[in-house]
Amino acid sequence: MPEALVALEQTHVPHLRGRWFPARGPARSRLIAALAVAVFFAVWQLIGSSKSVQVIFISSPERVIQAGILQVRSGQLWVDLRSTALTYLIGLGLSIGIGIPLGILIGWYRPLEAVLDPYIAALMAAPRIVFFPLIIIWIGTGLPSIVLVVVLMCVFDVLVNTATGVRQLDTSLIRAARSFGASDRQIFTTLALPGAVPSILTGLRLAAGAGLIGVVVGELWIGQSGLGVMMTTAGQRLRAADIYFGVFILITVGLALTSSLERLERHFQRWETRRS
Amino acid sequence: MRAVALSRDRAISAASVVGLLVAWQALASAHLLPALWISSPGDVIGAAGRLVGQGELAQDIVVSTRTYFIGMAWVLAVGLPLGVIVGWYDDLRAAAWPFVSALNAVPRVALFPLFVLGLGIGVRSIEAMVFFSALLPVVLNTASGVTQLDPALLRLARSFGASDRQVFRTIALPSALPLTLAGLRLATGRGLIGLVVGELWVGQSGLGYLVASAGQRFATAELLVGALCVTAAGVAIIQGLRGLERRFEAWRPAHA
Repeated sequence: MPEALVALEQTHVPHLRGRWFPARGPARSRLIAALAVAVFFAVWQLIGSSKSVQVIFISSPERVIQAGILQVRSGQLWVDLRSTALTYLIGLGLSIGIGIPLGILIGWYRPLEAVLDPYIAALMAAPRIVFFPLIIIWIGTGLPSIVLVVVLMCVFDVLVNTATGVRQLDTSLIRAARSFGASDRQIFTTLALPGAVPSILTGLRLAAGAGLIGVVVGELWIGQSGLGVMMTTAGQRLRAADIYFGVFILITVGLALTSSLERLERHFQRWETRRS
Repeated sequence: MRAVALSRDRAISAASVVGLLVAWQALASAHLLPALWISSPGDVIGAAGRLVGQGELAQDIVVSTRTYFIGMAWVLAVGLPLGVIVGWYDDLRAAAWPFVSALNAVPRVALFPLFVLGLGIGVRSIEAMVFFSALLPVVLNTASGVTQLDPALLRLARSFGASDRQVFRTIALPSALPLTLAGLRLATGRGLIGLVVGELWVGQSGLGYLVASAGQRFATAELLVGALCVTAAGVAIIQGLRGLERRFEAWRPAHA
């Protein structure tokens, strides 16, 4: 794309200039971002409300807001949100409960890692969602199936990152602890666990995203209540506005989730560098 | 010492796989495991033979492969130029940022009902699903590869009168490529998830459809054949791209 690389100097010469428009820096970026979003919604509203465009899936911001108000007033949104959040959190909790201990064991005992590695490596590379129909054969189409899909989607991220964190521990520290007569338990609680925390949190952040895929797919496919179900039924009834509303809710939840987990991760990364 | 430990690990891994298969078959033959639940290696091989003989498996693989590669071709055609442009122009990056982070935060599968509404129940929706699932890692990694170019190198090339094309070929491309390839590796996995979700849900053929329809008929052996094919494809694609990445990683230091 040589066109994209037009004169280097141009990147420093602002095209937009004015007293109110900052020439560079984060203020300019924020302003441009806000403008872009405003333009996007304005264009969407224009296209959506014009008589000449009669495409169902385009909808319009106005209709999405109306759909949202309706869902909030009827209380349906809270029912859906609660159901989805519950399924998601149970699945994520189970993944943490299984993934962290198993990951520690795998990171600590090399033979165990060798035994389990072929399966973990294959399942990490595979789109694990393909085993969803098997889960339905096992435990039916109820809530436990969706929880298990969430676990299937996120347990490996927790497990693998925990194992990596434990494996990368500073061996000289462990040797030092040994020579001062530290017990396994002491080494574990004072060295292994704190040292692995940053890596575990990375796994948790990845798992949070993967689990969200799991809960949405599970609900889209076999759910009886929740955001995914709301969106499927809206699709069947050709109500695009409801789907967009669901997407915006999920964007909000996803942004809140990832940004808070990222903050947590950064916090503990700082903590790690201070210690070592 | 290290090599010995490594080969011992490999031996343990191989023994683990063989052991699992033998135990699985033995338990199933002794009727200690319900066949409906997990079938048995023999049944899976039998089902695979049947599906291959009828030509069904080959057809499903062809359909899935075609859908996947069309979606991924769009990812490359749109994602690479977009990544380069967004990485190069600060203002465009600022404008794209809210949309990219919004799309990054939402599980892309949530957009699926929209695709079905817009593109109908069929292969177009699944291609769109592959495209949107895989697009972002390519854009984001290419953009950060371009953003992280060494400005000193650029200035140097400029002062020796390098043209835009030369700068692109000798500096921008080589130093952005490793990150782009890493993004591509992420994207292949995401795209595969998109493909499978799409085919499970609205497919009329393809491996995802094979798995879903086998599930509805409680044909566990067939289901496992499909699922194992998808798993093998995932492993093969990722291994292939890792090899490619290592190759380009190797010649990076010469430029950077």
